[in-house]
Amino acid sequence: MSPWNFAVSAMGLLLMAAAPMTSSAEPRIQEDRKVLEPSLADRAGANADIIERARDLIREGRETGDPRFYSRAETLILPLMAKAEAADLLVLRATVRQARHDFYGALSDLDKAINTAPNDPQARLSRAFVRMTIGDYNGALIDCQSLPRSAGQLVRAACFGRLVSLTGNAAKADQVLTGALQQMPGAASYLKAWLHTLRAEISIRIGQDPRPHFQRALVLSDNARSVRLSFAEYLVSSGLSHAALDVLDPADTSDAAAVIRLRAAVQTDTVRSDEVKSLAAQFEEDRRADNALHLREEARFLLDVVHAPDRAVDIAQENWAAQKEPEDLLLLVQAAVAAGDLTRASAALVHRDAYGIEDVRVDAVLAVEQVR
Amino acid sequence: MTRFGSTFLGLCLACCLIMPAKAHQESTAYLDVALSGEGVTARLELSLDDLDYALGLDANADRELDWSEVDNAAPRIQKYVEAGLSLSSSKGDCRIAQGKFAVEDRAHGGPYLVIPLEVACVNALPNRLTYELLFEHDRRHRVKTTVAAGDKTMTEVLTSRRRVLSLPNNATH
Repeated sequence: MSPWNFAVSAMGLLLMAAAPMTSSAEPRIQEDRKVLEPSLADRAGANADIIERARDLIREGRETGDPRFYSRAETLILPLMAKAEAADLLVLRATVRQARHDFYGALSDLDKAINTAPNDPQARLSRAFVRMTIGDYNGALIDCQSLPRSAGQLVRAACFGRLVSLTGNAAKADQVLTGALQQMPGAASYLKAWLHTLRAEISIRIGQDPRPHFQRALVLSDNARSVRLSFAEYLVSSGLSHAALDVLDPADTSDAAAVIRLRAAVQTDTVRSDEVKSLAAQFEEDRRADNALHLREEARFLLDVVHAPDRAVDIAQENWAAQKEPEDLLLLVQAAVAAGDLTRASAALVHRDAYGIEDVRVDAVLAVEQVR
Repeated sequence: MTRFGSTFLGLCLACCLIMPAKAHQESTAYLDVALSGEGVTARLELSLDDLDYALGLDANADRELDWSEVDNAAPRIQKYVEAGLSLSSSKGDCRIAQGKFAVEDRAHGGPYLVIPLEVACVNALPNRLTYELLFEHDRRHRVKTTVAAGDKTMTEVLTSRRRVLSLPNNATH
């Protein structure tokens, strides 16, 4: 049995074995460990306050896309970490590093945290998702399998479902997520929103309409910024520029939102050169500051807005070295084809073939390229 | 460092509510220094959102800043800047006077507080600048510093790891 078949089977066992849980007992996703971890009551009050403030900042960073919140959180906890690298602090810093796309730094922290607290569900979950981001699916499988029951059924379904979707069984992954959602109608809204977003992303890759899943996730998440961004990305990539702009939060000034707006403007022939120059200058400044946070957005900007495929493929390759999500694969293949040299995406295509990553968008680009 | 003049200039720029900045860049300040035979002037720009985080300007905690809140906090801002920015020459520390505050919007950084500075050194031009602001709240904070001396201009980025800048000394005094 291959590891991936095993993952599917194991997920089935987990779903059957999981005891019904009330929504209040469900763990929270990623950074918010209030429910996941033991009480902080026995921790020195001042430290607990600092940790709570850091969590609030991380939450705000996630909600706004403003990297300063992560830096502030990191700065807050550094003095505590200098005294002792406790597991909860390591997980917090890993979250910051993950958000800053320092995936190997995050892994280092999570490895230490798991060595200290092997059953910490948040550390396991975070490491599973970081490992998926860098393409280490074998490692992610171990973490998904090691998630304790306290992580909750939906969290485990999300872990296995996403992993299975990346390793050649996207349709099965969708069934896993669907089953978990059906079995846990009373689960916390944010968890259900997360699973619907995962279903939307899988739907895109297998050529199905993701919009019902995005719309459900929007309702459940109270229009979370991250869901809006993913939905808008899909819409603008589908040529639905007006719908994409309607979905985006007008107050979202992140680079990802800015690139989507400019792509929409290109599609409607309303692009303003000053806005293009301004964002180009911002990317250039990030590059000078050695900030690799926006490589995906910069490559997409160069490809679809500036129409500079050679530069786009350079950045997309750099981005692929850092992260290997389906969006990164698609971006690199599109940029390489636009630059007239598909071999520049060969490393990504080898990775795709090795793990059986399904994506009809990539298939379509390659099919057109073969016809030429 | 001493203060001169009244607190604010250009209130009309921000007579409406200032929304908290949602910049997508790291915390960034800007410092322009002009060295010339006539003296030394400078202009410091600090993000109001960064200042709010460091000093708690949002007195009513409604997550919006208005001018009265910034105005009321002006003495604290001035004291904070005074403690965190210094220039010195071979003859000792220079005196820095803060001018009237104003607010300007930056495309990617939201509203910034602009502080004009007049620098007075004893019989010499400053040759050293030390910047210590905001690092204790954000280790990734940076200040883009532009120094104009005579016909030359240099731009340097100061960070928590590099807080001191040697200034060129080719302007006549």
